[in-house]
Amino acid sequence: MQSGERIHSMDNLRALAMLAGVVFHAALAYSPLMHPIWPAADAGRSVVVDALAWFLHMFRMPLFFVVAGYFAALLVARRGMAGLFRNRCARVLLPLLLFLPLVVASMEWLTAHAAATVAHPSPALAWIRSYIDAHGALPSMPGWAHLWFLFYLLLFTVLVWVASALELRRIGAWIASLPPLALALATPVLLAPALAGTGVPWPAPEFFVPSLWALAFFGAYFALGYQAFQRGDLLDRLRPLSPLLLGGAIAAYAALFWLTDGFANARTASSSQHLLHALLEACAGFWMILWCLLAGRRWLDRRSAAMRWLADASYWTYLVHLPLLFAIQYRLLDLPLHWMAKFALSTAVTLALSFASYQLLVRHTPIGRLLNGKRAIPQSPRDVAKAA
Amino acid sequence: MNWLASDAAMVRKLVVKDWQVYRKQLAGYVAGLLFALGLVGMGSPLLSAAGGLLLLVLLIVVGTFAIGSLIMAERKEQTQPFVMSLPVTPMDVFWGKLLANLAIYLVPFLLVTGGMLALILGTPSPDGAVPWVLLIALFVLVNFVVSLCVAIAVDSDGWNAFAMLALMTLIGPFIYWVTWMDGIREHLQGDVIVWSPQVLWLIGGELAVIGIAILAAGWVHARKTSFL
Repeated sequence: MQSGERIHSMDNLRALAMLAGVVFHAALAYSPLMHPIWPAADAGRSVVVDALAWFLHMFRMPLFFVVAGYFAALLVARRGMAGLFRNRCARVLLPLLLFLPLVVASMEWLTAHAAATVAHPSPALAWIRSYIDAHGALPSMPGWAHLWFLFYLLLFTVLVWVASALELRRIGAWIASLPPLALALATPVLLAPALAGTGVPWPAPEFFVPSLWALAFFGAYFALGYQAFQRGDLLDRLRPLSPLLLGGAIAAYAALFWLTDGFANARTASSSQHLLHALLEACAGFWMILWCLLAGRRWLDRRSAAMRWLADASYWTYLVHLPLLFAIQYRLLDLPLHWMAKFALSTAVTLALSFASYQLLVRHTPIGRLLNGKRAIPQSPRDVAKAA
Repeated sequence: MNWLASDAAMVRKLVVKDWQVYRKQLAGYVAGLLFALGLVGMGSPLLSAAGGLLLLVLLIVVGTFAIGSLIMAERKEQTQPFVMSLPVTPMDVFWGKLLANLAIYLVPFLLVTGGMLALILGTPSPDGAVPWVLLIALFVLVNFVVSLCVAIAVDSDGWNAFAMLALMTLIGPFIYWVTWMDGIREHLQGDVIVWSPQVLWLIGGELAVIGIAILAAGWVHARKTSFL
């Protein structure tokens, strides 16, 4: 591999994690669990959606943070701490500042328009309609919307510097050097207290002040990715556990889904039950992520023009997908179609519009350079790691 | 009397040196600040109050420790004779110490103050509290700058400790005083940000104290013909 060449497995995993977000957000409109609170919630809903979508939720964003941690370590090795900060300012802070107002404004406009025009509104949309009638404006909902992950990425960049200054590297290295089975069993136990500090399933930490549980939970995954770069043998040592990890993740999630009656009883659980639910969430998510990393190495670690294009398009797609999705799903609320047709239609049209806009408006423009950077000079990450 | 540094590049090196010396402690405080913000972000009233208090305590402690380790400890550890061996004037050292400490303090200060203001402006909580928060934040900054200037100008550990403690004990009474002051009290729970004459006078007073403290410490150093 040439110096500077992309790490295909991680690039592709990041792309898939981000694109899975489109599917997940599209599914929320047909989720019984989200029906009372999701503005685009459709009358047609199925427990199947909850079973599948929330499983995706258990590992989708944590996986993204593992990949982000991996690339942060790569950047520090290649360009140093100052280089990491410069890169994060250009690729994360600037897009956040540019796109957040646009995303929030467009979603508010779409929601206000839907509240005024949809004949069969969701419970949340009906409430928003009555709120607008009473107050003349939408309720104030400050936060990062679905771009919260960019905010947390910035915080973790600061924490990379903190960990470096305090020389905490040895702690991560010690945890990463644990025997594979011990690592796979102990980490969910360490993650469970963070998840116990919030609801089940864990909500998106969209509030613009960071939440402690989210800092600890996603921070641990970011640190895992950082260690995965620094200790190239970490995933190799876990490889024999691959089938167990997949089976364990599915079993833990199934137990969680069954114990909470499809998450319907999660809010009324006792403290000990809540802790057990958090532990099962942590097991399902962590084991699934390890399996994804191993599967990524096995099946996605190769050059592919299509995957490369998807990897480049995924950032833009994730930034713009939610307003597009809302625009489509608000229109679908009044159509007499089966929920599966609406789900498929909204997902496909959102992805098609996002990809088309990326190719036509972004890829070869300054926005594309802002999001994905210039084409890198090839360089091997393993060589860089050795040099570091 | 020359108020200017003789060598800007050397002042920059002194600032970088202090930044490097204080890097570990600053990293610890940044972690502490994020922890405190995380407590505020958990949403429960108890954790939010604990997080808010921790933010205030850390903001005071970060300044105290910066002054303690970058100025007072240097005198004890005989770092000053080493600095005297460099081609620097007393004013170079003054500007180096002032700028290094201000840079170190302003990172967490702006983070906390900006975060508090964003919290008030971005949530349904009453926006009328903005001037009150700004007054208290500036008062904490005044405390730091005055303590810093005393530490730069006065060699006595006793007087420095006295100045820091005396200023710290004023924070509680100041918060009480401005909370019940006419022109502030009646707007605290309102949705409109009111810059009453009392608020503007207090802000002006706080900025003036900062300016006077820096000028006084600079005057003491400018009169020096040698380090001793």
